Amino acid sequence: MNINGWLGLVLLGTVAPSSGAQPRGLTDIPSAEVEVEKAAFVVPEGFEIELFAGEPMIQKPVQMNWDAQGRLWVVSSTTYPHIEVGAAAADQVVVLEDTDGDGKADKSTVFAEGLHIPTGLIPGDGGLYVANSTELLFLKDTNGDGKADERNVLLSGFGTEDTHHLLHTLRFGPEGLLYFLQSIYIHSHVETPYGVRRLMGGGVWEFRPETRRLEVLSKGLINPWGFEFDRWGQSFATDGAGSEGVNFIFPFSVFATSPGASRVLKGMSPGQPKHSGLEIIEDPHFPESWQETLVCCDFRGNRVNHFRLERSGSSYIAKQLPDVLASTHRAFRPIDVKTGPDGALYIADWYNPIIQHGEVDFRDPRRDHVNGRIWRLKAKDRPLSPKVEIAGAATPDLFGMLQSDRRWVRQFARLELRQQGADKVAEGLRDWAGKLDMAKEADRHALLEAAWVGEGVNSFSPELWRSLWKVNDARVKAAALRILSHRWKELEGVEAVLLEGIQDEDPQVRLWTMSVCALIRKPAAVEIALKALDRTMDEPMDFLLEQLCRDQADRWLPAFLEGKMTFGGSSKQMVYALRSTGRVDALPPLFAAMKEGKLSPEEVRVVLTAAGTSMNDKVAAELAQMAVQENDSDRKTAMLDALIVAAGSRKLIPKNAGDTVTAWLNAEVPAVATRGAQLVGLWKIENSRPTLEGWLQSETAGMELWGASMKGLAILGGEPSKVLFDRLFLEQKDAAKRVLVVEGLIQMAPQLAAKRAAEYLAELESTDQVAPIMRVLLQSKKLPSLLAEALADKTLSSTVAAEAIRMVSTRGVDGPLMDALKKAGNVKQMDRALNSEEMAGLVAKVAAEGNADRGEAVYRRQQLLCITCHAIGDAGGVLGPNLVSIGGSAPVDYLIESLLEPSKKIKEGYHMVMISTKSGQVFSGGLVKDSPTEVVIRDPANQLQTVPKAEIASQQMSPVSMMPAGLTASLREDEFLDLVRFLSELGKEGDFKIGPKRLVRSWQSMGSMDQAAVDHVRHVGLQALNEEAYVLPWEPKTSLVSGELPLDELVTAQKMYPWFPRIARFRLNMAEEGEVKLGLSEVKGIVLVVGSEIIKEVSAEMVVKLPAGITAICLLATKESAELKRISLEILEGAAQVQP
Amino acid sequence: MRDRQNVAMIGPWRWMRFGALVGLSWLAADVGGQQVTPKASTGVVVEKTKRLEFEDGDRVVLIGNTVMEREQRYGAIEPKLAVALGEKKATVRNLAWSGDTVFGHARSYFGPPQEGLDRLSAHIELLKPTVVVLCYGSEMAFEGLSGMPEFLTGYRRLLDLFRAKVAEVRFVIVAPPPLESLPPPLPDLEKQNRNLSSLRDAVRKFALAQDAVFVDWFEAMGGAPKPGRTTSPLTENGVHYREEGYDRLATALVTGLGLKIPEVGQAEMNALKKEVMRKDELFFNRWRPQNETYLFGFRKHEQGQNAKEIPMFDPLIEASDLRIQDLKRAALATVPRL
Repeated sequence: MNINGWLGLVLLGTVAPSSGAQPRGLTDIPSAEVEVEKAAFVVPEGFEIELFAGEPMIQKPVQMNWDAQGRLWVVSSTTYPHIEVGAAAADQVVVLEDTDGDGKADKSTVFAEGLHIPTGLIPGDGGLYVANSTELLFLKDTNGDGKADERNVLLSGFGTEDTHHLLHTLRFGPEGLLYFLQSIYIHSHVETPYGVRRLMGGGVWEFRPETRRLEVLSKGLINPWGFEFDRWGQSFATDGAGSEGVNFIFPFSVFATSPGASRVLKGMSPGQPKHSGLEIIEDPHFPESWQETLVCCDFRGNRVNHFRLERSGSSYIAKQLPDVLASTHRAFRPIDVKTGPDGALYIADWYNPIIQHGEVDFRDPRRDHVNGRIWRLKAKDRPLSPKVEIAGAATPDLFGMLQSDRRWVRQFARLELRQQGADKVAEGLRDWAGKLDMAKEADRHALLEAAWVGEGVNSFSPELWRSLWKVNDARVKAAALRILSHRWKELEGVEAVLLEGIQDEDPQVRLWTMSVCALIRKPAAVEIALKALDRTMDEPMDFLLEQLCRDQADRWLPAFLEGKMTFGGSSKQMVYALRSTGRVDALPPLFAAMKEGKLSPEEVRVVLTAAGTSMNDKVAAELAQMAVQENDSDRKTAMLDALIVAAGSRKLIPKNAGDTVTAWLNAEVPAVATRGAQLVGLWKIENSRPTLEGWLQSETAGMELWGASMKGLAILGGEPSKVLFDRLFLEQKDAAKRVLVVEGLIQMAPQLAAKRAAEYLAELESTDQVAPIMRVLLQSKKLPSLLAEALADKTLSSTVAAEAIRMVSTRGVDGPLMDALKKAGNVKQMDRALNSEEMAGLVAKVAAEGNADRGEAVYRRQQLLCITCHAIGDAGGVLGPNLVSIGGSAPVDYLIESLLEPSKKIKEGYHMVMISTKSGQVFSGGLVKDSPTEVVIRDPANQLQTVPKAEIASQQMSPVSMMPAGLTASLREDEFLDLVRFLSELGKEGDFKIGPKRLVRSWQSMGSMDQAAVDHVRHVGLQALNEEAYVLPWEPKTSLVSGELPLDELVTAQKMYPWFPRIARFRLNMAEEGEVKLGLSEVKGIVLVVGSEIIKEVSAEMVVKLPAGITAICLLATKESAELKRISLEILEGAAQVQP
Repeated sequence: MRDRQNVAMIGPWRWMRFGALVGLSWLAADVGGQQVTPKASTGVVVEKTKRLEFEDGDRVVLIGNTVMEREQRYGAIEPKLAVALGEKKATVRNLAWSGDTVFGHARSYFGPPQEGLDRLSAHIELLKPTVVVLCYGSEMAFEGLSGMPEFLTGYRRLLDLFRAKVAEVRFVIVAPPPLESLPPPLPDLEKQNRNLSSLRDAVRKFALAQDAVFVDWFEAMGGAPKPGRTTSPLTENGVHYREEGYDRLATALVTGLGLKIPEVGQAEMNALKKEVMRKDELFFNRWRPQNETYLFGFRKHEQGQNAKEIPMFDPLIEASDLRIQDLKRAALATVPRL
């Protein structure tokens, strides 16, 4: 019995559905007793955990920060998620103190109240900064009674569109600047003494309190509730809803979901759980191996994660370490983590059985509004760090503290010095810095601390800065450039410094040099930045350089066109800069360089792609002439493609179009003729109609040419095309061609197209022919309703109809088509909504009968499409949300509902966007990019679709999920229970939690090889398996949650004598050449092919040397390991990232 | 109009219409007063002092950017206006938004500025204001005056948005107050002040052409730029006024309307002020509620059911309006009689 049937049975005998949105599963709530929560912790060996503070001392902590006296300031909100009607704003700031040093808070003072969902705080500058919804406040206690009595609004205009995105994560940087972050749905408009600053979507703000200057440091990210600086002044953010782990934040960096972003950067560990809070451990209370590691809270998975960063190019890669803490208690929600004044780790526990309010009702009674805890994790056999008197300490003593190995001490010494002010600090600081010995690493760091203190008192010393710049340590240099990003106006000879920086050995120094260049906003600075192209570039550098050239084109392009900029004669730099602009006035010099043969084939491709989207009439005419004269067919087709894009998206028709087309139609190269055929239509060359008609009726025309002719004639249109198309539809036997005919008819005769499409569907027996025709039909705005009419008198096979329905639902098409398909295919309406009793019954059954191991097998079934769209960790599809910790964050009823009614709740960032174009086409899917010129969408078939902005008639968010309803309809009840059980275990403590090991999870497995392929490999050798040129039947394959590759799912015994192997491979990406240590769980009968090197003797741990870029590594499980069911492969050491 | 609203359902129109039905008694009051029909600009500027005649039951809306928005943190304007109006009743609602422009930049949430104006249009529909006090344009201090023609066109369209909903609406156009050059390291804003001075001149002409009352906060708060740094600042950062500043701004506005503010007891005035701020907070949570995304935005299909709470603020705001009138009478009772 499938799920429709058994749901019917489940429903039998239940009482009538209760009305309203009765909350479900109220029994599924853990005990809120402190002891129960404490007992559920899984603490690593050698550590222990105790409660530092709980209710009633504090409730619902949101962010915490220490002060120099060792008091813990906590901002809390019982109001979240939404103020009750008429309720006064009543949220608080509480100060916790451990006055007797026993590791437990014994004093709690309410410093401020009457706040409205405050989401961040930090004490400093003699008061307290608080993020309070639309405002950043500065509160002060002027009479020393421990309560704020002065309240100033420092900044206002922060958005409140979602209360878990409000202004948050207040943090002092080493330079004494204040940072705060906002999340995806927030739109802020803030007036400052320097003008209005606006930030749409997520991002990081940078604020200098003494000057009131506010700037945007970085944009994007979904829910970045963690931000911290490392020992050397580099900054990192975590994301509570993105799934790329820790992100490297530098000026002008842009990450996913930033509105209008042309390009975004990636996080350091794709597929990681989502994090809140970020702390970097630097305290001798923790073991040596913990120093400078990153700790962040996986509040969904009820655990605290641990990472070590390794430099890779200009950025880093993150290596996950074993968890800092885990819990089996569902309401443990770690959201902030800080080292305390005693060196122990303090973890703020928001405490809630449910999280979020986008997916769970604001007033759901399961929401906890009263509890909240601070836990203290300490090493058992290591001494706690001693209390240091920082507040009120003498200036020279504070200088000494800058050399502490404790982050806590350095940080508060800096803030204390900041409060003392420049008059008291500046002179002594220079003397102190002058005595440091640059041969010692600790002193080099101390010099940096000294420079930061100078910045903290807003007193820039060019002399001190130059001594930093001289230090032979890239970390110091990069930090010096960060200071320069605020001070470039105050340093004489800054150009010479930047010229030096852009040629530095260290990629991160080069990246920071570019950042400073970008801030200067002058042609000369652009020229300096472009010199980075003389050395190896990597993704962050390329991102920044392209953005700089594009965003500042108004400033430098006129100078270039007037001959005032030459890029030192480097055509590489010129092409890079010009093509980055996307502007039409950048094209003529690019064409000139192309004509002079100065450009590499790759550069030509880049230039022509740019030309397609930016050319005007004049350039189109020039390009058409160039294409006629061009002899190289690759270049010629690239030129024609550019003309096709220009004609298709902007209706550009060059003069003398007819003459030029004829030459291409007559070309011997099919690729040229094919494009010519398309241009006949786009350029409306009526004279060439007979040529296209001839090809359509010829037996010998290849499929591509046939399709292009069809397209060309469809655009030319008119009665002759229509008559011809209809005749072709009736005569053609080839299914693909018939689909093309229908597509051709859609524009000129939509009603006829619908009629023919309905006939076509009625003839279909196999479901795999449904997708091509439906894709075509659903891309038109008019067709769905016309097709519904045309289906009125048709009968469809029920499987064909079901497949068509699935496609209709995933594209968010409303209207009568769904009903028409159901009727024509006699598909039963499945009312899957469950009432609360049914849901409770099902939830109970999942717990009692569901088996997660069996559930994983169900999850992996191809026809359920789970893996196609969702990843678990870093492997799987990207269309839907990552499910890595779904079990920890989502209640079981939510999981069931999401499977049965996917549109009910949709994860933020995964809403379907629907775009209608001016020409009547419809595109729907996940938003990948929304730049000023174009929108890119990932459609339900995982294809990227680019729509030029100028073509868009309307663009809206769809209330319908991309996940089709009814995916689980084919499951039996026991299978459904297993699947839900599996999902509910994901991310929880146990077998279905992705561990810290860097296991290879994204594989390709070899499908059935035909004889030719086998012969090719045998002839060339096993290294042929890694060649991209020869197409082999690779299929994507993900590891199990355990990280093991299920060899038993692979095609066995390829006919490849003498190995008869099962074959899989993965690809590793290296930012620069280096060694990687691999670990194999099994070695017997295993052969590895690393790039072109065949390794027949593998060992459990082996070091391979990899070049920069992507290397394929192929694994053969030969007949000797025929019994082997699973194998795992781990990256033990090295800066390699698995390429998905 | 209604149809247009239905198209753009991003905003809080649902509750607004609902609110207008069940809503506040002051919404039901007549649109009163003899009014001058707005005339198109003739290009000829005649200096004259125009007074605003208040009617009993007037519904006043304050709108603009931060200077107007932050008024609700101090509750300065409404108490002074209330006692100056004596027996006449007026209600006040603050629709200002930090960083806003005449084009609606700050109120647009996810969409282009036009969406901000659409949203404002719905708020006007809800409030049906009879008197609108506008203070816009201070961003031009920093962005320069080259956008002046677009600014004035935008300003006119903004007024038309109100006229489209309330034919007899009266306008008070206020010039943004001056900036202060505070001691370093805060910036010297002399140049920006010169821009504001020019802006004031343009806005004054504009107000005359639009038959609006003009109030000159620029002059009232110190006027023409003076070189050097302020030693006794009224602003917190050179841009945003503190409590004393708001007290002066309020006085300048109310007297600028031709009204006289009577001397009332401080305790009574404070009580009145407190209630005004309470009402402003309730109204803020109603017209600009948090969680817009879920209540009325593109995720309302998930948590939109929670929007039912929003109109429930109306009776509370209405009750506060009544208390404000009571407190005003109590304050007026302290005026020394001759």
